[in-house]
Amino acid sequence: MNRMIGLVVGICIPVFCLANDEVSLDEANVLDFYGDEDFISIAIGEVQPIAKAPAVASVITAAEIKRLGAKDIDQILEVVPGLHVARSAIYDPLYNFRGIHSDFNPQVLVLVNGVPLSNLFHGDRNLVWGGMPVEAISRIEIIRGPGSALYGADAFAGVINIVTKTPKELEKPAAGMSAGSFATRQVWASGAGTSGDLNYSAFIELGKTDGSDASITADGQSFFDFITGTSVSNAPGRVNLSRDNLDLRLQADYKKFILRAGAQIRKNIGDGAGAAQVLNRDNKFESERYNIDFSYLEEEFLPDTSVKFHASYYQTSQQVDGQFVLYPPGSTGPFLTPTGIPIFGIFPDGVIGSPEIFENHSRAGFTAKYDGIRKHDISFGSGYYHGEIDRVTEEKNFGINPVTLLPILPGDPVVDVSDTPFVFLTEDQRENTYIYVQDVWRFANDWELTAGLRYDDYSDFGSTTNPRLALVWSTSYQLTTKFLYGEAFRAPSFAQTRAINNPLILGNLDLKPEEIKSYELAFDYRPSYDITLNMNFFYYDWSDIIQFIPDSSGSTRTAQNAGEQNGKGLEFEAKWTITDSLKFSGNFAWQDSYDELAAADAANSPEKQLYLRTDWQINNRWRINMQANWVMDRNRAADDLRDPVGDYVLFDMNIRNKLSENMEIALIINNLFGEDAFEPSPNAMPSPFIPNDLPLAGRSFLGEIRYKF
Amino acid sequence: MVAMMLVLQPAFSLETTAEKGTPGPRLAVVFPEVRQPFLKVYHTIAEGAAEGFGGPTSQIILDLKKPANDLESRIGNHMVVALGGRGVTQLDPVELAHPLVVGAVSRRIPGVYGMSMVPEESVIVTKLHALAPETGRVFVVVRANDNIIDLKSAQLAFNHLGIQLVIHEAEDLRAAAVIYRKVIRSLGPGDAVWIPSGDRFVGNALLSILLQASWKSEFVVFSSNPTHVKRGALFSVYPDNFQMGVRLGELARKVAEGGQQQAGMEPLQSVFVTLNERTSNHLGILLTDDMKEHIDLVLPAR
Repeated sequence: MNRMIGLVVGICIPVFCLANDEVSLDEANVLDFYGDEDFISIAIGEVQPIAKAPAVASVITAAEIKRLGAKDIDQILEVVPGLHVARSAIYDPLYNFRGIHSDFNPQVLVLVNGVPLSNLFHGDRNLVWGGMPVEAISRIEIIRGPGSALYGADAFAGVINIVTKTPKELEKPAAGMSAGSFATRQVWASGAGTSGDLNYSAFIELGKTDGSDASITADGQSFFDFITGTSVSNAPGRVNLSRDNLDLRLQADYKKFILRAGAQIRKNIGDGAGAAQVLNRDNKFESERYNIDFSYLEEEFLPDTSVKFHASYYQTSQQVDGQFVLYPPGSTGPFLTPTGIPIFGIFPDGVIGSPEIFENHSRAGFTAKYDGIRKHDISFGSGYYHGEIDRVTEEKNFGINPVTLLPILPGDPVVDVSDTPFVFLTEDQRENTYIYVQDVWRFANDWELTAGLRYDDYSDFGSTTNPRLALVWSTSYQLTTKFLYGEAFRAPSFAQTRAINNPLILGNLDLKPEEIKSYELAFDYRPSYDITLNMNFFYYDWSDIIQFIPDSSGSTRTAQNAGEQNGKGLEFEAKWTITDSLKFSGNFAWQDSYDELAAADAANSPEKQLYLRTDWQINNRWRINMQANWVMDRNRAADDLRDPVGDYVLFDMNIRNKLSENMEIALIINNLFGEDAFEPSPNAMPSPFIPNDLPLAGRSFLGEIRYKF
Repeated sequence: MVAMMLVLQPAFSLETTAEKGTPGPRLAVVFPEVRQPFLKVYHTIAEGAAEGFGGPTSQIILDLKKPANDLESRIGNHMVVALGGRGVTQLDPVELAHPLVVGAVSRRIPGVYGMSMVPEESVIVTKLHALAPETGRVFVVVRANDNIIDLKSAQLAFNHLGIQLVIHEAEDLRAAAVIYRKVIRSLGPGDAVWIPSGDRFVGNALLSILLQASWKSEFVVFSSNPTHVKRGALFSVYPDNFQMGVRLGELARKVAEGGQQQAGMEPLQSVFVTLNERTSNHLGILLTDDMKEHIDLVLPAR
């Protein structure tokens, strides 16, 4: 009840207060020639006008990110209609679009400046993700629905493109810091320079946090303690979400060339509720990621033809800091007979397994745009990708000793099985070549048809062709209608194709890519200049879903293209500018997805989600942003006997004060009312290892100061 | 005068070109302290002025909320380019060593050198002719006795390109609304409505009626307010701040050297153009390469 009062008060206060606009005469004078502040920002090059997309898309700009008080991209993505950020057991984000949920979330393509972050191991952004800070971000473009006809693999359930700030946007040196709950500290600084035609910039962000105060009441070891009579679980205990981050982004623009480079260093990364769903606060991961990309744009390469050449290199690692204890000292580990009898006995040092993976990804290609045919904008491109897991290392104290070929027994020292047939994954590579063409045809006034086709050929699983069609109709002055059809594929990950020596799961080199077909009908309706309404309806059919299916031997499961899911739903979004200083926005998403294999409603994604936000610029100095996010109706898997996952509403507040033209302070409160919020934990047989789900952080405070020199 | 000067506080002064000992005239660009992104507009004009002036140039930002005692001494014998209404009105030309040059104001101020932000009518006509070449008739509703736009030169500029300019004068908002409602009923392809700089008649309600009618009857609406383009007008012009600054700097140099004889405000020549793609598609305007030369910013279809 208190929460609802809080929401009502928070949202209504501004309505009953007259906004104190302090636009000076001079500002009003300038406004006469620009219309509004947003346009001035565009005119002076601070922001780019938002490009149209023949898709259901959202764009979130740096200004909006600041208003939201977001410190990580997950907080931004959560406000997108039809997208919910769930958590894996190690608390990596799972970007669930429209009911599409999986353990590692490879069905979403995340790009930074157009370069994919996808890893080969799981197809995700790296198991040791460690978050992504937001200060260097200029805007985030999110496309719901498939986009393989343009982006290729993994642009499946949705595409998230993160665009970083350019030297022009970073013209003035700036710095900031924040500190608050959970020993969170962050500092950032940016600067830019010019020398003739050369413009360059640097952005560095450093962060350190303990992550969360949430506790896990029972974990996987609690289950084994119950079965085997041991008593070594660390539960109840706090989730392990520490992290130390360094993010560096450099850019140099010279005439038609753009060169970007960066590093994302992750240290002291906690494993959430445990890689084996067993708590151990001493388990820490590390990851080092380096990127460099280059582009060259020739506007008049040929008559009516512009060409952009691009090349990129991205290197990632998933590493362990020290030894990674899967099950704590005194545990029997998961090695039990079907009747629950320990096979090896007690592991005095715990069950240790320290896997490390090193990947690199190289890309080169071009995109050409040709507008020499009346009423047509044709683009086409081609490119090459080479990705490789070039190093896999593993140290462990279970399994087979590669020297003696005998089982490693409890009490034996840790054995390095790297570069032996007993390592968990084979080192391998993948090549991909692609070609695509797209035509935007304005075949009549108010009508535009976008048709695209992309052919991808992979060295390991063959070829795939994916089309898309988008018909956009400017129905009336106020209404635009879009009809969309798209197909997409998701490349099998190396864990699904090349996992070996795992006592539970095995890879399958014969896997095909997952496929999706999607149909959308979208409306953009602007009944007045103050109100924008967007609504869309969608239906998708997701097939050849890769799942680990029990083998006939009974003890292992092998990856198979076994699953199928379809879903339908709608998303509704409203923005209302009440005055220049007071804005309401909100969205509601509903989806109903069905798991054909399980013959049950699809699990883990919210079937309904409601988001409300008010943004009030009280005067030139003060600004308050309040938001509420209500996550509802998350189903359990068909064979999961637990009660449905509880709904939750999280309220956040961001109060900012502009002390001067250069300095700004803010207080950010997340989970204002200390709601007990949970994301679903994975199911398992005979019972889930973490039965009481994955708790989210309680109320947190963060103070921030930023300065522009 | 002293009291007037007391309200001026030079909060910030920056030598941008050469050192103080350089011989010859020096320029001070004075503008009021405003918020970003407005401040950036003044900064860009000031950078242009420095280039146009071609000599030592400083920027003086006035914090009008605080008293100031030393502005006069800071300005000294600099040439002054004053930007923005408040800055201009609070400077007394008599106290300055050189004639004042005024910029970035919305009205033509008599008796001073300078440049307003109001685009010259011939510039707008040229853009209209390039982007909607079929246009034969343009309607404009202006406030009676308002001097923001020069109706005579506008008439000449339109006629020069074979476009008939139909001017309606209205005393007040109500009268303007009546005229608009009447006029838009008679419009169709080949016609256009011009919402000129400084217009105070076309608020949201009237703009909505006008743009809905333009959508239905397929006539062009063009403006000097980019917000109108966001909302469905075909195109708008807006100031090219740097080039405006260059011209102000050149003017200041000329005045300092006694080359500029008569005081007077020039209209703005350097403009950018923003165009609404959704509207141009609706009107069936196919953007040729020549047309694209005139467009600086396309607001994409939604």
